[in-house]
Amino acid sequence: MSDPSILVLASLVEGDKHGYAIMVDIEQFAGLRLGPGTLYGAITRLEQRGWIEPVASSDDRRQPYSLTAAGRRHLEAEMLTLERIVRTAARRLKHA
Amino acid sequence: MKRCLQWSARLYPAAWRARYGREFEALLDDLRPSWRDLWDILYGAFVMQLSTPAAYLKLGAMTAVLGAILATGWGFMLPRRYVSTAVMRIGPQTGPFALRRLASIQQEVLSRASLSEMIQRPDLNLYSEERKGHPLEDIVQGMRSRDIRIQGVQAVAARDGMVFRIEFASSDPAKAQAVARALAGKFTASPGLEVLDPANLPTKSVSPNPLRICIFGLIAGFALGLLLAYLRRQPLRWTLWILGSAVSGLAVGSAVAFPIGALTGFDPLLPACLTSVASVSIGAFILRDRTAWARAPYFRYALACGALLAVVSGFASYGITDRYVSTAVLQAVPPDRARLDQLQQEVLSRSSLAALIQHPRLDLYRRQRQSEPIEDIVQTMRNRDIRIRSVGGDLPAFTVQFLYPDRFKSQAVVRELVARFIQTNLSRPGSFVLEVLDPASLPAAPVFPNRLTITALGLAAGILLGFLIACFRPRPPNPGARPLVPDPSAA
Repeated sequence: MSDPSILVLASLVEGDKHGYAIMVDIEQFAGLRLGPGTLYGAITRLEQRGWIEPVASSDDRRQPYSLTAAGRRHLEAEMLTLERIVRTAARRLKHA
Repeated sequence: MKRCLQWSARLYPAAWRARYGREFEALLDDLRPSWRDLWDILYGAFVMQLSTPAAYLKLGAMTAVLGAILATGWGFMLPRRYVSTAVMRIGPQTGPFALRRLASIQQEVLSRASLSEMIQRPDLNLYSEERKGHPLEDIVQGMRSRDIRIQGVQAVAARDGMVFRIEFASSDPAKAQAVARALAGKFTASPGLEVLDPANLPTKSVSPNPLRICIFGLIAGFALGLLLAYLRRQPLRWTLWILGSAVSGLAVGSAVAFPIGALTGFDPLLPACLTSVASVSIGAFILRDRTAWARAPYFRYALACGALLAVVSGFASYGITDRYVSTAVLQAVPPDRARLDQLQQEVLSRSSLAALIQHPRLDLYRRQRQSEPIEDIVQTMRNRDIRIRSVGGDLPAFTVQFLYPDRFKSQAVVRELVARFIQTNLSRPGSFVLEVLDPASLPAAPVFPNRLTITALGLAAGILLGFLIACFRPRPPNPGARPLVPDPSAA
């Protein structure tokens, strides 16, 4: 659950955000503060894979990003896997 | 702190900064900076640098510099060896007479009693640490064969008596000088010997060579960097597998090499490292073979078998006894081939060689004499160990060589053979002049076995064997085998 790429994708589902906004959002919903190096490492990888893309902005320094359709599909697949793991673990815990 | 973060951001690759630099700086402006962020940026820059196409060179250069620094540091921790030299002259005789006299004095100076006295002398107090754990006999032997060197100075020997050099090597320069001086003193106790140049106080060590160690570290670090850069792009299991191969190879190599090294005295580090390299090759071979079973296996088989046989043959070569060769050069004036052949027959006759073998001072082939008749040993000595060859085609000069496991005995036998040539020649009517151009040398290194050649032969044989195995090996697709690294295309 602490994979920075998944956290960034999850943050961008809500809407376009720039780096600092993504960092604050992740800190709020996951309780995890990503360092600047880790955050931009994840952003670089996600953009290279075509899962996020930069969007036009009035601020020439703060670059917002949005989730692409491929990124959304990848996130959904990841969420299904996670959900299956969580359900299985919960069921086993109940019977243990 | 903020400035520190901004400076760290410059460590990212230029191409990355061109794309993300401005927004990254904006993020840093918005942050409340901490030391954790600084570390995070440094680590991020390192990872990003290794993601560029030039990552191989970058990582190779980094580990090369690190390897050079570590190796240089290690080199400084090694004990230094200093050599003090004294130059002496024996006279007034020249040629074989001077040589025989010098040999006799040298034998006395280097005798067990003489060296034991020197080792235990309170003002010298030599080998104090070794004496706690080893018998004095071993220390005397080590001092004689490893630390003392007596060599003729050829340029002066021809016209001005016989000039020779005494050298002593020690980790303490003052002690090296004191021992060289003491050895020279023992020589001058005999009449006709004088010191031309007293023992010097060495200022520079002869070993270890810091430049050579630094270059070794540089190359090893660079090779390691390339390997790491390659493994970084592979699944984690590859890295663990290769590291495991290297460590297990080093462990097995050390377990074999260090006990043998302790018994025979050879340096076990090189064979242990070679085993580790061979183990990495075999590990890579197994890894590749599991993931790409159907591909042509010739190269991998050849590499693995070659590395394995090179290590095995390299180790096996240490089981062969070292043999040293001492050489003397003589000249017959005027040249008379028939007479020389006659002299050679007499010197190498059964009675002459049997006397040489059983001479109490030489005591040659002791072990063989317990199980073989003396005729056989004489035959072996004549055919295998003694070599008498002419130098060039029509020149009247010829060499006398003797091959033996003990370098001092090798030299002593050549000296004795030379003396017999001269004596036999003088005792016959109408003798010509036999002149010693080059006295019997004291061999510094063994000529046999050539371990590098044996290892190279093992490598070549292994490569050939690997190709043969690859040619005749059945190659089923092996569908039941579980691959070590899952094939991404199968998913």
